[in-house]
Amino acid sequence: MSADRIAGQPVPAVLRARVEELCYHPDRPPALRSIDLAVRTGEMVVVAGPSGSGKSTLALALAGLIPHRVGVAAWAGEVTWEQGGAAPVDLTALPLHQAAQHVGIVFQNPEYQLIQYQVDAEVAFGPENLALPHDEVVARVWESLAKVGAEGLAHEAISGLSGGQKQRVAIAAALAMSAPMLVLDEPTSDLDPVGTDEVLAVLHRLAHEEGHGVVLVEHKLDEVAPYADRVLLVQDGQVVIDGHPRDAFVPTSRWRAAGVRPPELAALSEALPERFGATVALTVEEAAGRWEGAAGRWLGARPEVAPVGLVSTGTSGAEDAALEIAGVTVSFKQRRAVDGAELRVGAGEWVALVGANGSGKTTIGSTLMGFVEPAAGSATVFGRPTVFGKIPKQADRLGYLFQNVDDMLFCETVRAELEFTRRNRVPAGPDAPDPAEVARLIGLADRLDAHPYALSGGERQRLALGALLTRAPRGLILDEPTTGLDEAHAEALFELLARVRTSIGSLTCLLITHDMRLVARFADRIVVVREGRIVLDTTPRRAFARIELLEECGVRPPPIARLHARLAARPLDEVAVSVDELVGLLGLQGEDIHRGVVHVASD
Amino acid sequence: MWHPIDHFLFHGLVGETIVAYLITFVVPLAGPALFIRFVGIKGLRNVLTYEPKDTPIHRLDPRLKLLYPVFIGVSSVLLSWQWTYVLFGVTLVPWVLLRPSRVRVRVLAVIVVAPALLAIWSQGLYATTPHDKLIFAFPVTMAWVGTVGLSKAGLVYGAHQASRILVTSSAALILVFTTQPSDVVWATTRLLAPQRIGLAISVGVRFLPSLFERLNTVMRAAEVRGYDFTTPDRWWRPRQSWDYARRMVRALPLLTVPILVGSLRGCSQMALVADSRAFNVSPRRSTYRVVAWRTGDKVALVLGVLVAAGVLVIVLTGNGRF
Repeated sequence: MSADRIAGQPVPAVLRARVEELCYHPDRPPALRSIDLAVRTGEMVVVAGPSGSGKSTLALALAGLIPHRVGVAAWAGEVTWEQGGAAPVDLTALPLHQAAQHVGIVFQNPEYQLIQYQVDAEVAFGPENLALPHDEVVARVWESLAKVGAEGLAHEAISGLSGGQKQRVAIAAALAMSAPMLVLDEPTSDLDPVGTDEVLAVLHRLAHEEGHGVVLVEHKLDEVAPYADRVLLVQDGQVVIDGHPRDAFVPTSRWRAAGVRPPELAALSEALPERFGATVALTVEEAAGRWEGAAGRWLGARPEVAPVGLVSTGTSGAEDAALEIAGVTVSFKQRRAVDGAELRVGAGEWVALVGANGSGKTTIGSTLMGFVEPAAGSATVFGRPTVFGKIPKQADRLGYLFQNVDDMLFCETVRAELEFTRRNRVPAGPDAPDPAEVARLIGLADRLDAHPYALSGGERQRLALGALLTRAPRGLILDEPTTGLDEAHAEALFELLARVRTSIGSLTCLLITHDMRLVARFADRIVVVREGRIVLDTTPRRAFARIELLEECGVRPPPIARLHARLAARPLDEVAVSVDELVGLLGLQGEDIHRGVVHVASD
Repeated sequence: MWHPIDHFLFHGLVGETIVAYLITFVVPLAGPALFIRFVGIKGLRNVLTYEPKDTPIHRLDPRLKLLYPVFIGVSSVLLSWQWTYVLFGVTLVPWVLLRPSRVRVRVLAVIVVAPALLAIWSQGLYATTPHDKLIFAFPVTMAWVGTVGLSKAGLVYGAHQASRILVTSSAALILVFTTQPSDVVWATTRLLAPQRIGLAISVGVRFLPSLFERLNTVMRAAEVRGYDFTTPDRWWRPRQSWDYARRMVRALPLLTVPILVGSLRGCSQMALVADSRAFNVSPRRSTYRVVAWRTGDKVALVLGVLVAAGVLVIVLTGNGRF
């Protein structure tokens, strides 16, 4: 990458976007308006916002894809690249491959941006197309792979890579076009915490060591806050907050009002001004430093604040097993995906199944549903053994919400989706609800004639859930249900599930997820899977106290839980799982603190 | 003097009908039976893949290996069937050098020989003319199968066709067994001048497994919604079989929608990515990968040229046709 220098220091290039108005449809509000944004090389800018706020559109505009490559109804603005004293280059007027040599874009799903069979061929694809000399092509391939720490993957087939590895290769391919600026649209949404960390660390290094500019559209603010130089909140097509993460996240009420979950540590910093002053801690270590020398033994007290959110009405896993697997082993191509797993989920319980990508979580869910046949062991659903392949019969007891809900929608209207059972002569039980009733429950009663693909992402997910409910299942397996959803939509989904539970009396849920804040908020129990084996089965509070074990399993507890464990004078059995709980503990005064000390001492 | 059994089989209507049924059905059913017994769909997927080994054939330039089945295929069309069998003998030489595992030899024998036998047999039954001498004339009870019987001329004509099946399969499988998919893609993109075709092949190889995976997911999703793809327990009952067939047909549009929508969304993103990486900008792409031209390649090329020259001489001297 070339950069002009003044007195030996590189002069940052600037990507500037001025957008007066951008509309996709003439009769709808603008997707972007009144934007004046400048991003410099060497900085990492995080763009956050609720679903539909315009942040992905901003990413496309910054990459020069609007208005010519992505169709819009109205566009008034300019996107320029300014380097040294040279005249600004209008990116929207350049052919795409020339714009890509200034600003590279990486999309959410790595699957569709890797088009070659092998990693090195993928990274070489751009330089080869530019007809660069062979030596230059080779140099760019290895330099780009080195920047993302993927030299060892050069000769691997792309289909065999993990999600994090694929996303790193996609970044390398963009870098091989010699792009000094990278725009990434939710590149970590499909990744587990380990994959997310891989990608964020690479981006941080690119910005601060390699001098690239990074614009990152991201929902995972807890993870990304420590890395960011600037944070932007986009709401209704406008940038409403733009500042350093220490300043931008407070007051957190502005983020919550926009439907975005602020980082837990920002909320804690705000709640304890006497401890944090006017600044916001961005890492657990930094927050712990505020108690330096005064780490309270009293923090060992058990959190006594009532759990936030839904409290299970069910029983423990030991009795009334609704879902059960016993000694299940599943192998794919000589690799054991699940190895002798034992799990019981009580009727009405909400259990979270967590672990790294490829640890066997989805295989356990698939075994319960009958998608895969175990080599050994058995699965039981509400007292009846699961029979491999007999999915339609099992689906009247247990529903399965797929990660990509678009795979579950087949019909031309919402009404047809909800009447799918009747129209296809699927036998429905006596408890099967009326489709109109389900439509009201999922809040789509007024959209019955709409095409499913005309609905928003959150609405499509509610529709897919509603479609499952038409068979009146008593249990649900939810596979990564909140991927790509903002906080408001994730909350709405779980509120809907709570309504379903109320309406049918009891609902058993097995939640497969990487979102630990969701687990902390909604799960009664957490089951941790590592390399096909269940290594931990306990309450979220107890599980999150086992930080080292969880890290080994590719699971990262929420920052608040980690901070609580860090502040305690000795290993804890249970930790706080929300800001309110921790603040409640920290707020203990006088006798309460004393009781806390006594409590710890008596343990 | 006819033996009574011979008389029954070849001069009685019942016996002739039995023999005719055997001739008509045993061979056509033997092919699939052999396939299911020794290969199976899963076996086919697992065995028809690259087999890592260190042999002179594995080390050859993938472009040569890609041209090899093309050359053999074209030659088999130009040559007479007797010469094609000679060519088949030539294509066995790489197999000797390759020494494939026993499992693969078994699979190879079934998937190459079974279609060849079927070709011979079907032509023996159906490539007949009124003047042909029949080896076995079908009785009137077999009139419904639409042939007068098994003819020698038909069998010979089938052998012509079989020669081309054998020689083309033998050459193509050398490519499949000894060349990594990435090398096949690379060789294809290097040999084909239009970049678009090269990219299409590359994308096809890359996404074919994903497409099957996606189809599997969508079918599962439909089953979770209650749609039944399971084969009926009592398939011999017409009603159940009819219901099953109807469900399968009705599922086609259902399953197509999510797959098509997903693929189209992916394609538009893929097009953006390809364009942003300067696809089709330069008339001639440069190359990252350089394959060294080694002695083995030279020897293979010389041998290939010699065989090509031989084919040319045979064709030009008019010995190729009969």
